[in-house]
Amino acid sequence: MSTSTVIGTLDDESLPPERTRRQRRRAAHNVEPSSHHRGPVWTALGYVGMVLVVLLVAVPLFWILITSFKDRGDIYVRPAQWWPSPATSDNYHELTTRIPFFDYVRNSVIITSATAVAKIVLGVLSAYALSLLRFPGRSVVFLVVIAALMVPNQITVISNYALVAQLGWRNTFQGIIIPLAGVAFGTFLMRNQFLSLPGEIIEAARLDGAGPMKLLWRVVMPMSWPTLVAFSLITVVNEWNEYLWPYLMSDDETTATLPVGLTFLQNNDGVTNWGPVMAGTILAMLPILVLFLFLQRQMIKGLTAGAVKS
Amino acid sequence: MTTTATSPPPTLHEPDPAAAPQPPRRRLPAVLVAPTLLVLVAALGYPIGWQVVTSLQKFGLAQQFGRPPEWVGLDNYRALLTDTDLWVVVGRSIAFCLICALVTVGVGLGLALLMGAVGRAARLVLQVALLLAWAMPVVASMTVWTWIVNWRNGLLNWLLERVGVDAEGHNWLVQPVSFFVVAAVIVVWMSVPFVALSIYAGLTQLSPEVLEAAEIDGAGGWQRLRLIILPLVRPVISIVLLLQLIWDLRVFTQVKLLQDAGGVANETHLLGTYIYQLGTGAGDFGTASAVSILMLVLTVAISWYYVRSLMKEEPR
Repeated sequence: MSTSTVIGTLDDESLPPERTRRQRRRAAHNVEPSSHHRGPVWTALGYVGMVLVVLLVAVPLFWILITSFKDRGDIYVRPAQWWPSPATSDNYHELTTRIPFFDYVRNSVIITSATAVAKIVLGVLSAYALSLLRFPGRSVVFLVVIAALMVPNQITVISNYALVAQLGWRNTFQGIIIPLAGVAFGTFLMRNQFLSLPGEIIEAARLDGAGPMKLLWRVVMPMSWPTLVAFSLITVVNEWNEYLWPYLMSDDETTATLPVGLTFLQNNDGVTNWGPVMAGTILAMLPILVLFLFLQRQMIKGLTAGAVKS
Repeated sequence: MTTTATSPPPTLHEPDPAAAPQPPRRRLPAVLVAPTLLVLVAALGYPIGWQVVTSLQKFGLAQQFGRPPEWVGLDNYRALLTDTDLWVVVGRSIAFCLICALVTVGVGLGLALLMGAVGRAARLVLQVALLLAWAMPVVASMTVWTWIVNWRNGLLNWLLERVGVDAEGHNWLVQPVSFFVVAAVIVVWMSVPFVALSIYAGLTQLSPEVLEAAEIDGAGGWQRLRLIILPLVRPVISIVLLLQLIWDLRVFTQVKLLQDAGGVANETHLLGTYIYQLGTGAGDFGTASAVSILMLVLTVAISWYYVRSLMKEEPR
């Protein structure tokens, strides 16, 4: 096909300068810290503030981690124990034996991947249509998307619950997934990204005869890679943590997700034993951490594509 | 979905050099937006319609047990608008939402700049810490926070005693002011990671040449931030600010769980918990729906300016 070769050369042409830009960016990053001209007092204050903020972010995380290794009796002692002694893995053992933990993991994976894929695909396609294609009623569609962003879930939850329950979809995957698949944030975010792409490149590809889908796939998407990765990460984290809707829809381990399962664990008997709940929290965060470490590389890769923009 | 993505209408494949450069693509945009529109309208249109209808009815406990609701027109709204309780809650919610959103974006921007300024390893540590705070199930993070502020054996009081403040046995959740400070800290804590990572993603798109040039021209750190970095990442900042305003106005979980942990519910309601208390607590779904609609109107009012500027910009 003629169009693909044309776009191919376009890519090739823009590659060498990108590499040098990236090198220069690295250099710029290294220069940055030494180049504050604000005076030692401000710099010191800035660092103190930042250390405080970082501590504020980190302390609750640290607390969950050590609690997950504490003996049941040590969790509520005063003064608080900053280190579990003796450290025990009982909580993890209890977590995986007392509740069907791996069923929850399976459900979370199914629901998160289905909703995330739906949201990403729908978000990219609709954002593309709303930013780079012309069609009648476009601003109305965009208004609907913005309106959807603003509707509080206090409004939607009760009536959606009634509707889904009437369909007999409680405790089913489709009952959980379909109402969650609506995407407004992603459309909004990707539309902004697509609009920020340089018009010359889009026009050039169009003049070369690239059809709309080819334009999206070969030109727009590669140039928007960092934003797309960020959007995917945001979506996956949000779906993984989605709590209220799966909680309302699930009664047991056939469809309950991890956060819901942790609530079941918490309510299992009158007094909550927090050790296993915290152990479950740690295990629930691990997949997100792995995904991030993986995507982080993708984001750096994507930076070369993003550099075209500026 | 995928079939439309792989095989667009055949006419689009044949570029015609003689004719206009843009081939006719009438159906494609409709195909692209239809699924999104469909899901949104199905998942949101029906609930909003239901909510509007209910807000015009007397819909109490009796109606839940099958008695047909009685139409009361705008009575629910009339009762609300003359209710001072509601206006106190509305004012409180707006103040809470503004403070939280601004602090969140401020701290997020600071952290994003910090990520840009530190070395690679420190940046990764920061990012992972933020990510974990963000990825933590709400049940767990709220539990830890209520432990921290617990008046008997909480970490906060313990720390304050260590540095010499007489905080032993002080209950932070009883006074509304300190209750909202605690709530704000938690809300900010939960939303800062999203803001910081988004702004950092925006910062990485800045061209280093511009910054270098400014540095050569003698612009100090503060000047570079104010005159170059901020204007260039303004689009990202305004999006996250808008989203934070929308999300913080409807905050529910954090406030509800703090109330359960020892706050005085009647003095600490925000719109989200107020609606919940009216509906699920008092069984007055008609009034609860009217408050929900009011909340939607407030959200639209808060974001009106921004949305208008969005609609005005001319897409390609």
